[in-house]
Amino acid sequence: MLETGEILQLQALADTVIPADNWPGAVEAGVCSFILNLLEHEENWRVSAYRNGLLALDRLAHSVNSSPFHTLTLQQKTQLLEMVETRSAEAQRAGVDLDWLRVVFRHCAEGYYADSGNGGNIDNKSWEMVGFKVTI
Amino acid sequence: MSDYDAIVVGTGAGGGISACVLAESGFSVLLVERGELLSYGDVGRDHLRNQRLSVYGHNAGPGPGNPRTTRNSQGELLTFMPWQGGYHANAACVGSGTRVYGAQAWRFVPEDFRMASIYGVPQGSSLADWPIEYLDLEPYYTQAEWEVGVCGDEYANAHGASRSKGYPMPPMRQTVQYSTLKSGADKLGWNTAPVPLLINSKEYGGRAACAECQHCVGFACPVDAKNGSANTVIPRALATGKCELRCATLAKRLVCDENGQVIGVELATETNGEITTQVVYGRKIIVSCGAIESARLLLNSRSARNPAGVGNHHDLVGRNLQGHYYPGAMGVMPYDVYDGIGPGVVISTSRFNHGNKGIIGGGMIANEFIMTPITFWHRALPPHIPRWGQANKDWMRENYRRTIHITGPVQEIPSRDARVTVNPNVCDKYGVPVAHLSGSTHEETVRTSAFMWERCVEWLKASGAVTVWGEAPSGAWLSGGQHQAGTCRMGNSPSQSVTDRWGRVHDQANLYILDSSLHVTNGGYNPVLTIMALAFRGAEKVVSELNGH
Repeated sequence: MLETGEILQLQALADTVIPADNWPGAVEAGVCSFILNLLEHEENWRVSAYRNGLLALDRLAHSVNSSPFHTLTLQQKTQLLEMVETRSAEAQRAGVDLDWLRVVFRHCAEGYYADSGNGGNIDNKSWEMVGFKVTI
Repeated sequence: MSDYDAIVVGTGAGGGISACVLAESGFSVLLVERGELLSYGDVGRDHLRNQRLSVYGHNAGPGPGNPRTTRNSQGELLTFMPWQGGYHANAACVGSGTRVYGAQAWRFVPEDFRMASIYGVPQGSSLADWPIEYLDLEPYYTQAEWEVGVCGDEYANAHGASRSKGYPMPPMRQTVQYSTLKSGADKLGWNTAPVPLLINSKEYGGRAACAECQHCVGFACPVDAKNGSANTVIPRALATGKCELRCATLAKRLVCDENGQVIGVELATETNGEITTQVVYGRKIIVSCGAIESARLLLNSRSARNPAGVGNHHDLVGRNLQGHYYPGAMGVMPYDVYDGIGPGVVISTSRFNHGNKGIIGGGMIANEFIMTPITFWHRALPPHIPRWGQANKDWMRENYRRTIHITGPVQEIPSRDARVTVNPNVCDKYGVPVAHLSGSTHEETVRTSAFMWERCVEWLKASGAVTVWGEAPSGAWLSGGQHQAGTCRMGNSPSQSVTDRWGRVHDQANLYILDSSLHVTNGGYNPVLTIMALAFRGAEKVVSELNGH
């Protein structure tokens, strides 16, 4: 399972994928708990992809911003993810896998928007945000 | 000596009705189901594990231990779990798909039974007429509508076909999407109709009216207002005292006598992880496992007299597998079109089911059920919206309540090569060879789908959509899933079909198939009411035979 340092990176990544605004960001909504639960019980085979991906993202942060990923501003982290998405030379050199990142996007959305029984979407805040009200 | 007058395998739309008709006629019935009897709580409301979005599993089966296989274009063998797309799953529990379906209750129209006569047979397709016509099924459509319970508008839903009786319940309440899309259809000069549903729009059958919740399709009903086998015909069958329901039990193979005639079924039952087998004998055997599993059961029942499987002397069992292509488009409206009134699907047009110049068949289109937010994220995002970041969150927040999704089932043009076989090298948890799927639909299905996709776009634009997106279908693939059909088609000729016009396997005296496997073509509509009508009709025939007529 992911270690403390890796979880810090995961939190930084998740809050870049779904940033906080007037509504909770990913971490506050429980997205990281959702992902850790998923990696432990459903998709254990993805743990190494997460580990390698977070490490590569940190390499990219050091190479572009000379700082660890989790210490960067939202704007800086967003720029790094855009570099991965556009397959920039730096991102390729750092070895960030875009396919893995797309899985992270999906996992974050699932943790944010699915039912709270899955460990995310604390207090159904995302449902309130989009206007999905459960009447019965 | 038979243990039962009849053994019915499968408790879905066809099996439940078959058991009910037989038991209420005084015959002893063993009703077999591979899944479990699920309560509302058992099915639950997991937004990632349901029959609408099954990312990590299903809420109504099948579970692990029931794989299927296929080969990709490179010839590599692929194995699918039931919740993966290539599996083409139907629920496995008491009631099967009817436990968690959207419950659209369409009759096929007269043209749907005469596709080859009307359109000719496209080269390379196996398009054919049914051996029966709409009027043969009409009384049984009516029986299904009244005995299982359908709400709808008899005048709007007639589509030129005669009806002997109206619906027992009025249509569901109109919603904002109804009025928005009605005005768009009016501008286009299109006729529309409320969607008929196997849902109580008012109290019916001793059960409550729909509570208009937001978790209809893919989930069980919180007030038991959704009418399926599990809460209508199966309780009726059990109430006779003549029907025994056996769950967690797979029919491994059909058992034949020395002449190759089916006389029983070998069952495997799982109890606390232990599997026991037993052979039971019946005067009549009815197979209602859905198009893929029914074909699998017949193909797995090889014997000296049936070397290619039961009913398969002409290599037809498992062929012509078809479902529905579902072209669809989404549009954002300038105002909120979400009022939270479930099930959500409420307005349709059947204008394009037939009579489309240069197109074979067509299909009904309607607005979509309420989507959970994560289903919406998975399925409804426009291509230009990033899948992450502030732009994604903003889009979800601003447009979840403003988006309308139009979609519908396109009548498939069947292909002989789209088929179910069995894979002798891969077995399920009972040790039975699994279904192997191969082939794809005919290219005319893709052309019809592209035509229907354009109609979806047209309707949204006429209704005031600011932006419209969604991909036009391209490419031929296998289409099964919950609308799977066609693998044991009925017909008059034993060399061209698996069963006769009643569902009896041609060379078998006592073996019936009563499910969507019989469908020669699958209509441009959700097929469940047709499965139910065929089951009422076929079971009536079985009763008459048991009575010695």
